[in-house]
Formats: sequence, C-alpha cells, structure tokens
Amino acid sequence: MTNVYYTSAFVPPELIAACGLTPHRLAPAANADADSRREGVCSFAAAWLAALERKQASGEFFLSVFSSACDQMRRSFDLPAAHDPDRTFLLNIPATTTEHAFAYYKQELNRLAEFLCGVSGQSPDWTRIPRCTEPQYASDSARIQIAVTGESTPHSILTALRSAAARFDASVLDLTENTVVPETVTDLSLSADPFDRLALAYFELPAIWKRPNEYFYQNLARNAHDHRVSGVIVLRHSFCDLWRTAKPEITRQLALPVLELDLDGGSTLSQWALSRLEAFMETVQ
Amino acid sequence: MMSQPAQITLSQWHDRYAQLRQNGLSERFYGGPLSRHANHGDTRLHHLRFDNSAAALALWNLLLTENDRLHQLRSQGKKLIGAMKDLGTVPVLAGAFTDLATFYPDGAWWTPCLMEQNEGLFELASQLGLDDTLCPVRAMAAAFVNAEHFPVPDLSICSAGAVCDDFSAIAQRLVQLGFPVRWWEIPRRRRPSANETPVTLPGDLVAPASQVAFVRAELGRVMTILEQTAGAPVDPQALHDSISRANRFRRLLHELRTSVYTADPCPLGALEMLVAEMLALHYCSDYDEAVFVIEGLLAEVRTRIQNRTGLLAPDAARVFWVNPAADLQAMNLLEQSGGRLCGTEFLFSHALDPIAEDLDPLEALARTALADPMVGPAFDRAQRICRDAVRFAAEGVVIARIGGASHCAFDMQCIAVHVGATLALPVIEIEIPTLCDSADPSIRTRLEALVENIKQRRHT
Repeated sequence: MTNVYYTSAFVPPELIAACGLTPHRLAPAANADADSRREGVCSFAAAWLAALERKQASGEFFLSVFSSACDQMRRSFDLPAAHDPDRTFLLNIPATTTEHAFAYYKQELNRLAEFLCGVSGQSPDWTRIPRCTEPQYASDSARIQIAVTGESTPHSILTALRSAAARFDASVLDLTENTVVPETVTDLSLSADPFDRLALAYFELPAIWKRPNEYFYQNLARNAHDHRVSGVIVLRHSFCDLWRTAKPEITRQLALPVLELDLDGGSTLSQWALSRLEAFMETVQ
Repeated sequence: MMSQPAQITLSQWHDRYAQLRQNGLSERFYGGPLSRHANHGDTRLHHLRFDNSAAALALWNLLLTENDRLHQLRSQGKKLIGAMKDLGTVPVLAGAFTDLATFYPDGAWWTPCLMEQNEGLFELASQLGLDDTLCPVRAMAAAFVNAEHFPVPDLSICSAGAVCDDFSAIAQRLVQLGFPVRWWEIPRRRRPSANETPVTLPGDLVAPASQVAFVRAELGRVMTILEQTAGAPVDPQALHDSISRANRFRRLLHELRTSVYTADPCPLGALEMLVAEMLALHYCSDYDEAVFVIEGLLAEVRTRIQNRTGLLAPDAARVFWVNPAADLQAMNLLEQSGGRLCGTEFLFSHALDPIAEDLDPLEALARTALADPMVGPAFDRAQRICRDAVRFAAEGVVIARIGGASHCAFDMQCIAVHVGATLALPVIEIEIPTLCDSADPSIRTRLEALVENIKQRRHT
C-alpha cells in the first residue's frame, strides 16, 4: 500500500487508512544539511522537507500531506508542490473555531479524501481504520513530573529529555503535539456518519495556533493538574513564531516554573540545552 | 528660490516651508512645518530626504498627524475599529458606517523607526514576551499597552488562518493582555481543481467558488460585528458607496504609480511613493484628506512630467522593490545608490486593484480579500511581480527582508527563482532593520552593486 506522510495532528490517519493507504506521521529531526539551516526557515519545516527529499531520492512512491496550521509549513508546501502537484496535498485547517470553520474543515477533509482515493483507486472504507493511538503518558512513580509542550518533537529529543530528567528522579510527560489525538474515534464504521464524527473529533483538538487559543491553555493546565506536574518545558523549533510567545500565558495559567528550550532541528539536545535543563531541574526540585 | 523638484533635508524644509507660505500655500487643518513632528519625537525625519513640493508636505503631514486625528475622532464620538492583518478589506466594510473610524494598528511597526527607538516600544514588547525574533510589528502590542501612540481601539478585528505567524502570535498575545480581538478566517488560496467552479479574482488570480463563498460568509460575520458596534444595521447603499470610494482612491493611486514608474526623469521619489501607496489601506484614517493628498501628488507629478523635470539622473537604474522596508531611509538609500523605484509589491497588491462594483458587495470584497498576495502561493506573488516588472520596465529587483517575518524565509527561494527564470533580471535580497544606520555601508554596497550590474547589462 502507498505510504502517506504527514506531520500535523489535524491530519486524520483514520481517513488515510479508510482511503486504502498507509498513514505515517513524522516528527523528523534535521540532519546536518546546510540548506535546512537557512536563515528564517523553521527547523521543523526544513527537517520535514529534507525527509521528503530523502524519500524521493530513494525512489519510493509516496504522498505527502502538509497542513496550513503555520506559516512555515504552509509556505514550505509551495516547493514540493511545484515539482510534484499530484502527490502533494495541503490540508487547509481553519484557525478559527466557529461552526462555519468546522463546515470548511469538513469540506477540506472531503477534498483530502478525494485526493487519496484518486491514488488508491478505492472508496473510503471505515472498517480499515487503524487503532487510535492513546497518548503515551509517563508513569507517575517518579518524584517529580515535568511536562513538555511544543510542536511535534522527534522522539530522540524526548528520549534525551527523559534521560536527563531521570538523574533528578523526574519523569517527562509528553504534552507536545505528538500526543494530541482525539479522545476516541474508534468504531467509526458503526457510526451513522463516520466522516462527520471524525471531522468533529479532530476539529475540536486543542492547538496553540487556534484563534482564539484559550482551549489549548486550559487543556494544558488540566493535564498539568491531573498529573501533578511541577514544571513545564516549552520546546521551540528555531524560527517558530507561534511557540515563541507561549511562555507568559503558560506561566500565568499554570503558575509553574517554565523553561523554554530552542531546538535547532538536530536529533538530540545541545550541550547548552542540557545545561539549561539541569539548572531548571534544580529549580523545580 | 527653490522651485525645481529636489530632495531636501528636514532642516532645508524650514526655508522651503517659509517660501511656500510666502507664495500663498494653503494648508489643511493638519498642516504645518515638518520640523514640529521631529520636535515631538519623530527624530528619524532628520535623516530622511524629502520631496520639496507642497504636495509632499501635505502627504507627510497627513501621515504624521494620524494618531492625533484618531484621538480627535474619538472625542467627536466615533468608535474606533482596529483592523488587523487583512490590509485593505475591513476598512471598506467599516466605511459603510458613519460612526465608525477604522485604522490599522499594524502601522505602529514604523513607530520605532520614526522615533529611532527612543519611544521604548520594542523594550516593552520584549517585556510582554514578544522578543526580537518576531517582526517589528511587535511594536503594535506595546503601543496597545502603553497607549502613548494611537488610541486603543474600541474593537479589534483580525484575520486568522493564512496569515503571518508572528502577527498572529502578537495579536493573540493582545487578547491575553486584555484587549478584545474578534477573529475571522481567511483560508490559504489555492487554484481550483478540474471539478471545481473557478472564480476570477482581482489581480488575474483564480480560486474555487467554495473558497470565495467561505470568505464571503466570514465577511458577513465581520459585518455583523460592525453592525453591533455601530448599533445599527448596514445601509446597503452605504456599502456600495464605500466600495466606490475605495475604487476612486485606487484609480488615483494607479495613475500616480503608472505615471511615476514610467516617466523619465523620475518625477517623485521612492520614499513618497511608499507612503502614498500605504494610504490605500485605510486612507490614513481620513478618506477625504487622503484623496486630497493623492490628487495633489498626481497634479505635481503631471506638471513635472509635462516640464520634463524630475529628481534623479535620467540613467538611474530602474528597480522593482518587494516588501516594505522596515527603515524608511532605505528608500533614500536606493536613490543615493543610483537607483530609482519602478514598481513595488508591498504585501498588499490586493488593496491596489479595483473592487468589482457589479457584484454583491460582500461577494466583491470576498474576491478582493482572497486576492491578498500573502494568502496564496508565493509563486502567484512572483508572477504578479514579473508582470508589473515588465509593465514598468524594471531592470532589477530588490527583496527587502523584514527581520523576524516568517514569510521572508521563503520569499527569496520562490520569488527570486521565478523572476530570474522568467525575466532574467538580477535579484538581490537585503535585510533592512528598523534602523539601518549600522548596516548602511553594507546596504549601500549591495544596492550599488545591483545598480552597476544593471548598467553593465544595458551595454550587453
């Protein structure tokens, strides 16, 4: 089956599977590619483009789905779309949360389904959807819980964070976009209108780029409270403006220490980031 | 006696102003010597070179008195609407209501330039969590908080969706700081697929009918918000009239741009052209005065063209400028380096094109809003730049990077490549900081190199 690569939590893998294709959500880390370090280009968007280029170079036939959730990803779509418009799709995800915006989001999901079925040659079959991935929360056995929030993050970064935190008897709760999934979209085939149910489940997900984005902060605060979090780390990709301004409101709403760590798109934390992390852990303890 | 067109300094304007007054200069209620603005904090004026005409004087006085006039409008009982990000559409909607006055708080991005950062807006913005990795429009948020520049609007209406991340983040921060913002969605424009009904937009663009319908409904929501703020339903004829007024201004500006960019020698400088073009967004909060100013500039330009007089050398390199410069002085630098402005794309070409008057007003404005160059693919913008560069016989292109602006990272890749491939013109990208004094030598060097390149190409 043809692979469909995407990065955004708002691209439903269930829809991709229902259309007879295999969904793969990526959170790529950049390699030491000089192009990816171009001034002003978000390191995550650059890593994503680089990952697609590597797959292209390997000869794999695949589809890629971009999201409009941020300026950088929306604009980075222009580059591969110019060369391969039939295998590249931009899902326009509304930033606003009105009923009207929801209707538009459903239109866009319909359009995505047409695109996917046009490649698979099949009609949507809701019995094909994969099991919904539940958020992977850390165990509560550690003395301190630290929440990590931010954009989709490579697992190697989270592993490095967990390893560093473990030295302080702390565990890391992943509240990044990696773990933003609908509470339940199982058994869609039993639903009277599976498409509508799927669309609503994804539309209602919290995101920092929503306007207004109060629900994102409320959701973060609720998770932090439920898991007795003692501090929050905000992971920011370089040149990501949306997460650049998150700290003051997180601090205000959660009343917890907040550390901002900048990721440069590499596959691990820099020594500078590790030093800051250690200092933060000492503060939280 | 100075009667020939010239570019003069602020101090030279002292004598020039006296001369104009002696010759019977009649000024509007916001008129007066330019030096008073510098005395009140706009010290960047000391470093600029201005056109010496009465028309240019009126232009600068209109621009630099806007905050005062907004305060006056409020004291007269008008409700102030802060339109944000859409650059040209919401003011046309609001223009249907006599009790509403609309302006773009976005314009505060130039305040740190004009006041040479002595006003402290960037420092305050950083304290608010908006650091210098964001574009200079972060000054807007600080201006809301300290209320020392424009009056805080009664309501802000901001577009969301296919908008710059930094502006979106800054506007959302305003909400967190207690300033209400009403949001409306502008989707990322795309070309219609084979099975979709296409709709032609201004600027020779095309979008699916479904997207136009969505934006039309969104503008309907904005209209409801305006009606609630005004306390009265919109008069359909008033909305038609607002569109007609917008088109009247756009026609005048079109004639000004065409006249200036095609005439030789250059009859009006790049700095005045930049400011004049900005008037299209919301008429500097006074439609009648904006028309007066633009008509005055047009009359001056026509006279100079007729007399074959101008400001710059006849062989000045013809340069198309992309993106507004964060430091106004950059426009002077272009000319001091041997270039002249022949075409612009300042991120709001949709505010220059006529709005259809034979359609339902909301349909017409939806098509205009969707034609925003920043809402669609960069290649659409590049194509327009190519068309206009040909129309104005540009010989080179400058892309002004705005520090922190998220779209700039991709501009060079898409626009430069496309322009280079289509027109085979030299393209350079220069970062223009809010105050370019420290970067002046390198900016000049790059502009001079472009000019030399252009002039060498003339002989090959």
